[in-house]
Amino acid sequence: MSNSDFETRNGAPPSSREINALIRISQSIISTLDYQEILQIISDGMADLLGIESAAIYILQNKTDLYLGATTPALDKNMPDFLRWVKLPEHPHIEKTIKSKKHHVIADTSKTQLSEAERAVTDIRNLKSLLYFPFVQKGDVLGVLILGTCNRTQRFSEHQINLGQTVANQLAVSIHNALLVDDLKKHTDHLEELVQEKTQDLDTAIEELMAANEDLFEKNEIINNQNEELKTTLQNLKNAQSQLIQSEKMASLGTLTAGVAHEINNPLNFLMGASLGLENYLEKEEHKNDEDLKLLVESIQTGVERISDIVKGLNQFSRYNPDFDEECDITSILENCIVMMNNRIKDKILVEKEYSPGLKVMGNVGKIHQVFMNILLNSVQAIDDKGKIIIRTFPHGEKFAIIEIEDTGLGIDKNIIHKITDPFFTTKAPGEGTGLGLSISYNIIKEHKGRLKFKSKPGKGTKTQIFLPIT
Amino acid sequence: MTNKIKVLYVDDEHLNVLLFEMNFSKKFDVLTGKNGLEGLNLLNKNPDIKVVISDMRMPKMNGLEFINKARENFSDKKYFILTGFDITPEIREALENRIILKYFMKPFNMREIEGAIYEVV
Repeated sequence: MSNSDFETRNGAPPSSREINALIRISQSIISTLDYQEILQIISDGMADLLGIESAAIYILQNKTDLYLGATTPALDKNMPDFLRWVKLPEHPHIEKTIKSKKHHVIADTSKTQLSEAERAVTDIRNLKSLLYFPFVQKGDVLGVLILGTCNRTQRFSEHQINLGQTVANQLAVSIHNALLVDDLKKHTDHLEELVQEKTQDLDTAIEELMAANEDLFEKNEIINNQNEELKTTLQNLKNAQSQLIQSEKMASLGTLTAGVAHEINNPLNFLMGASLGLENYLEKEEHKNDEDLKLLVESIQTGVERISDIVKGLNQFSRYNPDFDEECDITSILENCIVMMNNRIKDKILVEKEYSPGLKVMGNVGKIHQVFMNILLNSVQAIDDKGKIIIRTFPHGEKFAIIEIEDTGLGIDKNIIHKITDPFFTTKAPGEGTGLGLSISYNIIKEHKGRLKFKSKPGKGTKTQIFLPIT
Repeated sequence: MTNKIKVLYVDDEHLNVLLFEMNFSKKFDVLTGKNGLEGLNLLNKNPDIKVVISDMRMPKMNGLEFINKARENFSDKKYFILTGFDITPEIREALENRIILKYFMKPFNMREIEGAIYEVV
């Protein structure tokens, strides 16, 4: 075939037509990164460039497999992928091209030996003359371009072969790049798929975790609630126990003191009666000026009165009365407590009193006695050797009376100050304290709708404030 | 026996009875008994008794039991309790119901008792 053949068919001089075809190929290739598209461009471009109507590109994969990348005219886009795969040994002419890395020509398919597979392909379009070009990139064959004439044979010119091989070698670079890009794309796709898969897995796991978490949370809440209930029950039980012990104790103490008081009061009554009788007797004329005798009688009466006061105090302290409607004179209750504790105070503790005269609250005299007694007792016990207790009473606005008892004792540690009103909490040695004093006091103050406050500095002392409502 | 107020005092302690009589007979006409039954007898025999003062704890019949019994027939008398006990719910209730007008504590306070008697009679 001569150059003039080209001219006749395409209407332009071969060199300018070829340059145009080459420009189209290169422009098209630049415009895309898609591997399939690039193969299609090469197939169409090469057919156009060399003026041969049919073309096909096979890409070599795994050394023995061939993938039909593109054909001219183009394949049906819906053609299933698996139909594009063929085995290299079934196509000996392609195999030969690949092995030799050189172009290969079949001048007339009807006169050349073809394999069954090759025959099947050539029969489709009645291909007569075939021209094979290997795509060689850095010594490796990437694939093969096959150009073919339909229905007629053609003798391929040297120019066609040289041009074809040169361009094919150039295009091998593009194919190689496209393959790399495709690979990369496949990797990226695969990675994306993996990421998606993992994300989905993670999502599922998170969902499962969240469900489990929710379940746990619910269970936790139930446990917490039950725990809280248990705590409350335990606290109630402790309180009930302490109140039981307390009321039992107070009841027996009350019975005891009442009995003892009665037994003391009767002989006191004798003494009082007798001394009054004596006083009467001394008013007679002959004794009128006997001051010594008068002093003796007065001493008896003073003694009787003092004993009587102590007994009354005892009675008040242990008196059983469930009501809270008594008028409680704060000063006299405090004084009574001090009288009862006198043996523990004298010689050891200086008691300073700053009373607000006439300060009264409504409540239960006996119970308020117990509160003052317990708190004073704690102050006395907190003082090891010698010390001071300051008692102050004053109104707090119109609604409350404050009774403040401050000592220079050991003080209370920060770690335990919140526990000191717990029933059975004690820092005293076993047998020396029940741990009920402050808890009972606290409950009594609560019953009176009052408040109890502590301020303490270890080593310096404690200040206790009792707030009691005036009405 | 002139216009002295007649007072009945009941107490199971002999010394109490004796000393009460000694100390109060100057101003009052004092009759004494050592238990509730004696008290009731004395009330029956002496309708002019105006005031009854009783101890609380006595054998067989305590002070309030005696007074309640006495009031069945002698509701016009003025009744008091003189006791070694501090106030009890029982006594409180009796005070509230005006069964007794006052309660005195031992050791007795002469002026307190005198005052109360003069006040009610």
